[in-house]
Order: sequence, then structure tokens, then C-alpha cells
Amino acid sequence: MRDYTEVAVVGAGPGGLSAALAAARAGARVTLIDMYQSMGGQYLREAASRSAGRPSSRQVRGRRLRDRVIAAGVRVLTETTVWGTFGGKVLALQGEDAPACLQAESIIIATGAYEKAVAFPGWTLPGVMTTGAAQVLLGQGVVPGKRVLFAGTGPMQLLTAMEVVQAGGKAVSVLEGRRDVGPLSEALKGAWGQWARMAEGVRSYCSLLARGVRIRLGWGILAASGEGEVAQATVARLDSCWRPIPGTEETVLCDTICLGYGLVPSTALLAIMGARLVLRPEVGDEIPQRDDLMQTDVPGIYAVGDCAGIGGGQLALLEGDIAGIAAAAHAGHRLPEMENALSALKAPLIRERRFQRLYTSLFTPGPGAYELATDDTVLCRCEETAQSELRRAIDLGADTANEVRAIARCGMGNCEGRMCAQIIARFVARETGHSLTHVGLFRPRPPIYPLSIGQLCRRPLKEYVGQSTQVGA
Amino acid sequence: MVGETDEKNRTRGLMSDLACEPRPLHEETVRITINGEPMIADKNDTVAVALMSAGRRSWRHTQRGRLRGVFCGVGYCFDCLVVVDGVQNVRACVTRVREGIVIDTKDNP
Repeated sequence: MRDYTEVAVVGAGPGGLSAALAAARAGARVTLIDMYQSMGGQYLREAASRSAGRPSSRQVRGRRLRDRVIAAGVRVLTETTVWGTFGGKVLALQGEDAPACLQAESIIIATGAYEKAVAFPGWTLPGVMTTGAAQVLLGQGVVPGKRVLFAGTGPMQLLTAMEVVQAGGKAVSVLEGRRDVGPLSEALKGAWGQWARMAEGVRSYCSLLARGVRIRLGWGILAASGEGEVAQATVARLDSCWRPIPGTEETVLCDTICLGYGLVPSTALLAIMGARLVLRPEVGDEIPQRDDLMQTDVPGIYAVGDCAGIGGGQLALLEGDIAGIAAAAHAGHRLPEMENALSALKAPLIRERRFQRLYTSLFTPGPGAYELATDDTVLCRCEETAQSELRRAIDLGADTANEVRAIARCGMGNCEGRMCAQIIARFVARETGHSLTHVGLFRPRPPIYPLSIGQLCRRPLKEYVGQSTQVGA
Repeated sequence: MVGETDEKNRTRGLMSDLACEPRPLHEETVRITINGEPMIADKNDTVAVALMSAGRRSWRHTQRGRLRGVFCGVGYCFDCLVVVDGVQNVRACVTRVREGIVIDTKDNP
């Protein structure tokens, strides 16, 4: 017997929380699933008790939203991973308190995004991490290193550098790949209603300068080196395509390098559930096609938030609201004033989308960021596949990401290609001369997260197969 | 493992200069073991935070013998693997410590 719910929501970040609440308020029975121990995702992450200070206004909003979700009677399954599907709208779950399978009338996928990685010589040395990792560590009372170098792009780099300085670390430099800040602030001014965010960015910039942190515009990292961990980095000026300008190289002593090159939508679950994903070559990500109600091309399956295109927390909250109402209606709980509720959300949605499109276009790294690896550089961290091995696969005739994966095993490790797909796809496109659309990204296969045989066998077979009955939340 | 820890700091669970300053007092600590060595950690620490607070920034060897630590910090990259209570391939960055947890960074595939 499979477990059953009316609306299943995967991911308890802002999109999922908002969707679960909206669906529950429309009268549907809702199950909200999240792989972490606490709800909130990245955008509404709670600080751990180790760090001092009052909660931020965002954290207060997050708590309020979580409390409302629980008060609305949503069944919450944390530390539960959705690893696959058994066809239709059946989710395969792995979690101590979770059923093995969950069947639903509607499924809202709000799986968020993860940080993009770029490869350069030495990028696998301990001490090299994503800026997101640094933020998580700082939030838990640990400064990631003593001499921290930031490379990549965007305001998040500045904000995190400030947190490092405030925590007692020494932020050495912030290398921002974009050279022009002038047109940037003009462009941001054009996105009305976003004054608060602009002010935040400007405050960070000024504070960092006041503390002696060096912010270098139009600069980037080329390589890192050290014995057993990062000791220094080679940096250089970049041209407008983010390619290093010869002769401008410098050595920077550092023990930590924080990389901030953008986010990748987490679409593996959408892919295995049959939603059509479209690759956007200008950004290099794949996103689902959706209608006005956030529904994918599979009826009853919805996608909201960053997993449907990077857009930030505010946009996710709005999209979740819409999808929650629509998903509840699909499951037979149509709000009497549904049309009014949806049209009220239209204007803020358009505004939020406009700003986020602008933000994304401004902070996308240039092609040079993906050309730093040499043949000795490991491109797939999990399988330790070097660039030279990919070249051999291409020589054997592989010209898509999936073919290269089949031959060279890159993307077959624990992270299932999440860290290397972007890097490898671009390398293959460059080497073969094919478009990124032709090369594609890795096609996900269940289990979309590593699963042990023991975890599968722990459940009796009848929980995986057979008719569902209406039990559970 | 970092050797220079004074008793006062150990009791408060704040072990090395990687911890933030100023250091706030916290409500609860738990006793943990890292590679056989007894230590104190915050109740809410992840294994990664406990390891970094003890001065470790890398603790896992890959198949080809390369050292890794935290890379993505949120459970996606699987670089930060440790053995927890005998179970292998546990992600340190998303696993919270608990009273009596046994963390082993050796022999991890």
C-alpha cells in the first residue's frame, strides 16, 4: 500500500512553504517534504544557536511562514529525500519517518538551486569552496579561513566578505569579474521598487573599502596552489569576455577561496517526472516550460522558485502562492474566489520577474570563466576525471554530455554530475564546435541522490507497489 | 588534530581560532569523538563545523588519495564525507552532531 496525499510539495524553501500554505488554505491535504533537518531552504535559513545576534527580518518572516504552514495542518517530512518516481505522480522517498512511496493528485516541485562551480588548476584543494558554503559556516559561528579571497561576481560576494570581516577573518580581496559598475547602478535604478536591495549592495561596498578590503573590478582567479590546502592564488585582469589579459598576473597569498559564479536550477526531479526541460544557452541552465499557473507540461505537476529559473526568494514566494492555489484546484479543492486571488498576484509577479531577469543578465560570468582548466585539471570532482580524459572521449566520437559521461565516467559519482555538468558541457561544446543545445547537460536517472541497498530493502515490498488507499495526511 | 586547546575553551566547545570572534556563550554542548579523541561540540553543530572548530579543514581522501573538505557546504557535492557511528559516506556539512556521536575521518572510500 502506498501512502497518499492530495498535494505533495517537494522542497520547504520559500517556494515550497508558500505553496504548501496556499494549498492547505484552499482545503487540500498537503504533505511537505524537505531533505534538510529544518525548513526554510537557503533563502530562509535559520541561524544556528552558536552565532550571536537577533534574527534578521528575513529570518523572522521565515519563522512566521513555517509556523503558519504547521498551523494549517500540513504534514511535514524533514530529513526526507525524494530520490525517484515509480511513474505517474508517485514519489519515492527516503527518510526515517517517511513512507517509501507517496502518491499525490498534484505535485509542486520547489527544489531550489545550487551553486555553480568553475574549474581551474587547484580548484579541488581544501580551502576552495563556494560562497554559499562560507555563508553556511559563518552562520554556524565558524569563519571559513583566515585570509579569504573572493572570486566571481555579484553582491553576494560583497555581503559574504563583510560577514567574514565582522567574524574576525581577514577578507583579502574581492575579485569582481564585471568591470563596469556605472551602467550597473543605472540598470538597477531602472528596476523600480528595488531601492532596498541597491542600498544593501552600496552599503557593503563602502563598508568593505572602509575596512581596507580590496575590491577589484574586472579581475578574476586563474589558478590556486598549495601543499594539501590552498596557500596562494594567481589572479589577473579580465577582458569583457572574462578571459585573462596576459601580463597582468599577480600572486595573492590566501588560505581560502570563495567562488561565486551563479546558481544552477535543481531540475533532476522535474526531469525524471517527465517535465520537458529547455536549455537556455545564454545562461547555460535547463528550466521547465510552465503555464501561468506554474504547471509544467505534465498535468498536475508544478514547478516554482529557483528550480524553474533563478529568481530569488521573493519571486519563489509569489510563484508558490499561485501554484498552491492551482494544485489544490487540480486536486478538487477549488477556491471560490480563485480567479481574484490569482489576478491579485499578477502585478507583483511581473515586477519581481523583471528585476530578476535584469539581475541574472548582469551577474552571469563570461565564457572565459569556463576556459581556465588545463588538461591536468580535474573537471569531475567525484570521479576525478581530468580534462585530458574528456579529450580522449571526444576523440572516440563523443559529442554530447551524455556520451562523454558514458565513456569517461564523469558525472557518475556521488553528486551525480551536479558540480561538473556545466563545466563539462561547455568544454565539449568548445572542443567539438557544437552548440551547447546540441551537447546538452547530463540526463538524470533515479536514484537522483545516492541511496544504499540497505535503505531500499528496509521497507517491505508492498510499500512500493500496489494500489494506493487514502491514508496519511 | 590541533593540540593547543586550553581547558576553558574545550569546555565551551570553541576550539580554535577558526571560530568567530566575539564568541557567544551557548546553551548546550554534547560530547563527541573525532578519530578516537573525545571533544566537546555545540548541540546544533554539524559534523563539518565540529571538525573545522577543531582546526581541520580537510578530512577525506578521494580514491586517488587527494584531500577534500567542505566545498558546497549544503549537501550537494559529497566532498565532505566522514564515517559517523560506523556508517560510511555521511556528508559532514548536513549531519548534526549528537551526544556520543563517533566521527571517523580515516578509511573513508
